Amino acid sequence: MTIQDIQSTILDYLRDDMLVDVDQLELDQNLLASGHIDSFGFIEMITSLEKKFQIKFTDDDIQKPEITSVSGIADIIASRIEKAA
Amino acid sequence: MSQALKIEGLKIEEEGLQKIHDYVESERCSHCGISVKFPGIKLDDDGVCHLCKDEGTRQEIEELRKNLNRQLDEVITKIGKRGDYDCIVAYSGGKDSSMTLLKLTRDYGLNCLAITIDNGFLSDSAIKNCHAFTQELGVDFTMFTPSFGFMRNMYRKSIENKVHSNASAKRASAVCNSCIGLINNHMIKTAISMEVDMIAGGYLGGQVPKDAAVMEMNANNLVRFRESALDHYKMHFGDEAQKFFGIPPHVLEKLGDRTLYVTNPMLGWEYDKEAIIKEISQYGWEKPSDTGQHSSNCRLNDVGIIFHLKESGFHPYETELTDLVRKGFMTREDAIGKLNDIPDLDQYSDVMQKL
Ligand SMILES: [Zn+2]
Repeated sequence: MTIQDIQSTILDYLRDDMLVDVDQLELDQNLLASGHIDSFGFIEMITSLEKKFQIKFTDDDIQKPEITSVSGIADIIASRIEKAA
Repeated sequence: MSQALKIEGLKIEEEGLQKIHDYVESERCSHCGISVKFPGIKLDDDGVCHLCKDEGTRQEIEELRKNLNRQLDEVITKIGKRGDYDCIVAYSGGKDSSMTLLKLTRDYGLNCLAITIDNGFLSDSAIKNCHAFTQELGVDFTMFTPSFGFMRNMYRKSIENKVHSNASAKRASAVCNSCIGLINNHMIKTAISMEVDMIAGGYLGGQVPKDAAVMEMNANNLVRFRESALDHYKMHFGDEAQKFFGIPPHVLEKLGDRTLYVTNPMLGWEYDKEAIIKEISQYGWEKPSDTGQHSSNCRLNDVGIIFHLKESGFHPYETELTDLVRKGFMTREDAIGKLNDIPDLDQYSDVMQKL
């Protein structure tokens, strides 16, 4: 799975479940600060992505500032998948 | 209905009324009753929605609930006892938070402080319940009343503008989401200031994500969640929003490297509405008759539902009630009956006047 595949899965999720207008979304945009998702949405997103990619984010992952953007989450997921392989 | 809807510029146009009509007539999942008007809902050939198909067996659901319950038990063993209280309960005076307060106090033996936010629309009977129930339980109780000028502006802006994320509409109406944000912030600020490690709310599945049974908040998370939303709230509600949606640096500093546990214990408990009412009634709680189908404390709730319906075309309680059906705590007929019983705004002319 390439980074682009991961990003597009995340974008599909944001569009379908979080009702985000992904055409207006920059990949490195902070989803929380831009109001695209709120704190409950963030918690929901983390669990849903863990299920989708069959990974588990660590506490450290969740604390990383980059986990609030699509590109940042994709990078973290990629490293989780790599470690699991 | 139309007359009450035109007070002070808050009105529902013909198009909105049509949306409400279409919603009531809409097709629903043959199992849980969720409407196809709800975002992302598609029914299969048997008329079953994907939420039902993903839900898992009764046994799996029960296992998940027990797991949430275990998480709560764990938190209770972890919380420190520095301050005067073990837990702050976000207490609305409604049945669910009353049950939460009752169980945490009586069954878990926690020394709780009940805090109610008076948003200006609590029914008289709810306020009476707050006092009677906490006194009967022997729990300390405080009420915080933000200036009504701010609250009125917040609610109006919430109805008139798009204040919240799109996905939040799946959980609650815009007015409720604003209120929930303000309440959460007040509870967090108070818990940190009073050195209390645990906060409990009375939310059910659908109102908050399943994983919100236990949320661990450290300073980093708080800054990320609260502060990132603050600019947004200030933009809509004015600079005063700082006071109600922000956490000042000196308070954050007080948290240090501690963890604050924000919990919703109801997600881990079995849910039986009638049993809850019966049990809390033994402690002086009386069922209000003036707060509509879906709230047992707030008179603004039904008004929020109407504006949510005309805006989104689905009911803000759709997830909560159909989730109860999926979990076997409510029948499909009961859920649909409640969802299709559209509130009559004529009964809320006092609320519309105040707005
Ligand atoms: Zn269903």
